[in-house]
Amino acid sequence: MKNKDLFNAIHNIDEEYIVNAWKNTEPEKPTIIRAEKTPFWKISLGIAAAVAVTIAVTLGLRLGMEKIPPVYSDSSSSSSSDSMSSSSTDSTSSDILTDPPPVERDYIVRYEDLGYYRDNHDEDFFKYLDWYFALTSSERSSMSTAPVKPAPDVYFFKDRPYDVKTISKSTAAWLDWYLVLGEEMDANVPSELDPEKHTGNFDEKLPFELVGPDNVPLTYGDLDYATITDEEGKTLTIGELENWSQITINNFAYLAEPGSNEFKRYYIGDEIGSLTFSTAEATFKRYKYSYPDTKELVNMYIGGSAGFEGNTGIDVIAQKSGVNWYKCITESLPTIEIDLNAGGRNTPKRITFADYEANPWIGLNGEIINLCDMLTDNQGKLVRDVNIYDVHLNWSDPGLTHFNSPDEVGQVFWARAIGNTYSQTAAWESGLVPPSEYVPDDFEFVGEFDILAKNGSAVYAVGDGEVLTPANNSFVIIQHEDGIYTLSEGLISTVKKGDTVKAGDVIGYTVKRLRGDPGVYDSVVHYEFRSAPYSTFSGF
Amino acid sequence: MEDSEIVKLFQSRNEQAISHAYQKYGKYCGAVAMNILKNREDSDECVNDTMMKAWESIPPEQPRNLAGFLAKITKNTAIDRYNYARAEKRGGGEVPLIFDELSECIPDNSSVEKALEQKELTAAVNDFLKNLPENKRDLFVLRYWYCLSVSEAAERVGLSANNAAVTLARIRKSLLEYLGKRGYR
Repeated sequence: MKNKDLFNAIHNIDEEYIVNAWKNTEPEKPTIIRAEKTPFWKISLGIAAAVAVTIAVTLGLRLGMEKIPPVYSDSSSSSSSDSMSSSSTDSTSSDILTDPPPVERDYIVRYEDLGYYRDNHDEDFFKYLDWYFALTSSERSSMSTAPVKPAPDVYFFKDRPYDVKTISKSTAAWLDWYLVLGEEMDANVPSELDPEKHTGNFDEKLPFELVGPDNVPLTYGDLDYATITDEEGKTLTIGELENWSQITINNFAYLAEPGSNEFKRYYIGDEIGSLTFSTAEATFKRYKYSYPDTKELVNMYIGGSAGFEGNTGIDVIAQKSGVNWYKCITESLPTIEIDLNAGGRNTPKRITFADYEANPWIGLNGEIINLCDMLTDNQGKLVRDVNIYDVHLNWSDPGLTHFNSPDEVGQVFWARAIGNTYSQTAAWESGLVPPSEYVPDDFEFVGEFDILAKNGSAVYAVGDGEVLTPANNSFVIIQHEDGIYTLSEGLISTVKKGDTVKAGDVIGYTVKRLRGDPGVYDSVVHYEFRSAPYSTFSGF
Repeated sequence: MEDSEIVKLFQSRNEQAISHAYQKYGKYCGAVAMNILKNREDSDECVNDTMMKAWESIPPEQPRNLAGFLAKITKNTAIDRYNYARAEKRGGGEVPLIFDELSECIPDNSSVEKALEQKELTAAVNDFLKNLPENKRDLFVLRYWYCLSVSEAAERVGLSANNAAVTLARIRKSLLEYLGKRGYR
């Protein structure tokens, strides 16, 4: 007991000693070797333009959508230089890596694992893959241009002096996906992933059955939350996988029953019996990643939304009619996000904002979707009825999204609607903590979305109203009728408090914002529709 | 984000606090837990629990040093988990070794320390560490706070394992003398 006293005493020593000991002895960061002075971008640009474009279209749209990994993975996307917060290496666009950055990764993939592609693709493909996998997400994000095929003899995967590379879990999943769908990918790759085709190919090619806890059948996408080990517990690569029983699904979420603060751990596949819709329209079921293109509101899952790494979420595919937003919130969920354009592979559709000059969104069939319709008042009562049209709803981290081409300027790239009862949204998004409360009487509602814009673009009022914020401000709040307020942020305002504006009036101009995404389209207008002038969510 | 801002978020019950704390110190806390548990999954869970506990304890707690605060919670949680696992199955790890090594400093037949508050003992250790050269203090903390193995701690401070072991033995001896002068024997 006495040495335990000392043990405890040491445990309680000055925190400065604790932190400094770790910081002072932090291992040195990996060295990045500049192999040649000539930027490989220049070398490769001319030669590989055609290939690069093809690959960028076929791969970049998908590979670039790598999800934010959990806390241990390489791309914590932290901008902090604190050595505790990130293990990523420093890199610039002209860096050439002659050795993979020795960062901590989750999966190991070897050249031999490439399977189909090893035998059926030309070198250019591998160079691209090599370039891609050699970099961490944060390194790629630091690149000022879109991926371009790397220089010959530098990035050729199989010719590297090492034969083992480590990549992030989600990247491994992507790679695996390519391996499975190799033949299809080799042909004409659609700009959007076809879930049905995905499922079909997957099922044909892999004669295994993936079973999670309680024998719940799992799909490929669940691999994002899986570890693969042999009987002795040694981690296997995807290529070494012999049967699905070697996969351990380890994703879970802490959830509480409505009205309870008692959190229990739920795994993928778990159903929460009491959390069911009162209507026949929806029930809680396991998230099926490779879902068919259903439009029925039957897919609402708890315990791990595969494909959205780091996000333990709930996905809803709303039916075209008969399901309204209000029900979703009040009858089942404390809050929910609308992810109209997550850009992920399991986002079946997109809805664009019509040049962000007016408020309607154009749905898949040309119908108008008005975000204001999604608002409820302070009592949790629906202000207006609304139908969700083919909207893919889910809880996801907006940081997961990336935009990949100039065509996306003007598009909504993420959106969500949240209520103030969901006091732990961020933690929930990171898969940490479940909601602790459910819809109370003073329900406050915010619908918000971001729109990509070029720097200096005009931002317009989305409706008539009175300005509540000063000029030259970074955001504008307008009070509209019906107790609705809008916030436009990410701009320099040209209107001042007390001004009356009409829909379409210029209220400011966009400014560059650091979003952590590559590319030049880094102005983002953040809109919010609110039931109160100031929100506790965004801090404005 | 600065620590003070994160703490403010905690205090204002803003859920972003957890996210930011997780992003900034999740890896660090994970390393702290991993040193004790030697198991990735357990460590992951430990970090999750840490963030939950931080959320529950701030306020009223007002951590002056957020990293250290989270690290302490992590370590406590990890040790709890370690003890739990150990109760089920006796295993190895650094913790029992550290107990053994530290027993040199406070002999079992001591009776004086029973009359002293744990807080005073902590203060004495703090004083001792304060007067220790930084590199030695780091080594000591890595070994006895972070529960790194001698070779792991040695590698971090740039010493050979043997050298580190000798240095640690000397520090322990000094600590023994230091505590002895304060009536701990």
